[in-house]
Amino acid sequence: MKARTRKILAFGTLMAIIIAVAAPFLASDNPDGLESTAEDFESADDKESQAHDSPMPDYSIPALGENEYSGAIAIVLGTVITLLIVLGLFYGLTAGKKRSNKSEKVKAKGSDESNRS
Amino acid sequence: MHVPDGFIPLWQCAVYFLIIIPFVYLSLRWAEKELDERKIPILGVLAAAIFAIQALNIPIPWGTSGHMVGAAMAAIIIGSPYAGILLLTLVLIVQGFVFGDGGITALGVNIFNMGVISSFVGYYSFKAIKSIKIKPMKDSNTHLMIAAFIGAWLAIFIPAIACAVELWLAGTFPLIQGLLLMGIYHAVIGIVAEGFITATVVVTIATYRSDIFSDKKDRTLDQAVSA
Repeated sequence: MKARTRKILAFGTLMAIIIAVAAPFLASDNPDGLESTAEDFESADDKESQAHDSPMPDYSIPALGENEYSGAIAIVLGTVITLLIVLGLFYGLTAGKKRSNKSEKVKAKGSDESNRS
Repeated sequence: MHVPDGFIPLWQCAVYFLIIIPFVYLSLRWAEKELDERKIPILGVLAAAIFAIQALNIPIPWGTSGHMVGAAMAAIIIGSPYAGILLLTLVLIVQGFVFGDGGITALGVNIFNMGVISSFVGYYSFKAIKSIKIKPMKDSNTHLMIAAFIGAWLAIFIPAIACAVELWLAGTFPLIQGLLLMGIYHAVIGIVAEGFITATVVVTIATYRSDIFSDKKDRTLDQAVSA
């Protein structure tokens, strides 16, 4: 990885972590646009259900309770998980490409040699 | 705009999953072809930033709040709507499974709204506005800022309208009032969050680190960057 790229990765990750730590302290507790709209309609009342238990519901660590610090840890964890998933998936996807490029080169080299002989 | 479980009947949820399959497939093919050592870290950083900023709800009037989506920002910076679709797909999966934000059965509809619709609308409206030649506007950064702002605004407003229609089809919202409320709330969120943040980030990158822009073929962006 080139130094410039490494700098982008380091700076960008730092910015994301800063936002993640600050988010629970700064974020509004008001319902979002969709929730506010739903509150206005009886047809949407009590319709919400949970199809699955999440390990960190509502962006908090259950063992630490629901406070800003618990939220900050949960959001930082989420930010790092997201970063690792994206890097892992895309490096994995392009690793296949590199390998096939290499084997093409090897093939081309091989045909060169056979031409010579 | 994260639809929770229970708001949309299961069979309709299945339809949205079917709709997004070709888009996610094309995005993965795009990633396989286009991504390299230089772009992958930028995508990783964008995904992390989108996750973090989506946790930051900004208050708006009427006791409501909202956060940025970020698909348009990713698509503009990387130079392809597929970047926005892929990153939002991954962010929404993490949010749904790990944090209970947005339903699991509603993952398809959420990826459709905030990934597919938001990325395409944001990216192509940005490009269209960027390609309009405005003579008195010599400062191309202003032009870039306006294009990014309007593109990002549409990239949250149009998905909100789509979401209102989907929830009407699901029998959860009445059509007219649903459209009105979803439209008004997200029009405001589009200004204070999506439009403002996207325009700031895009202009900052154009000013200080124009090498990050991946769309080398996009001459309008190149001109803005070299100016």
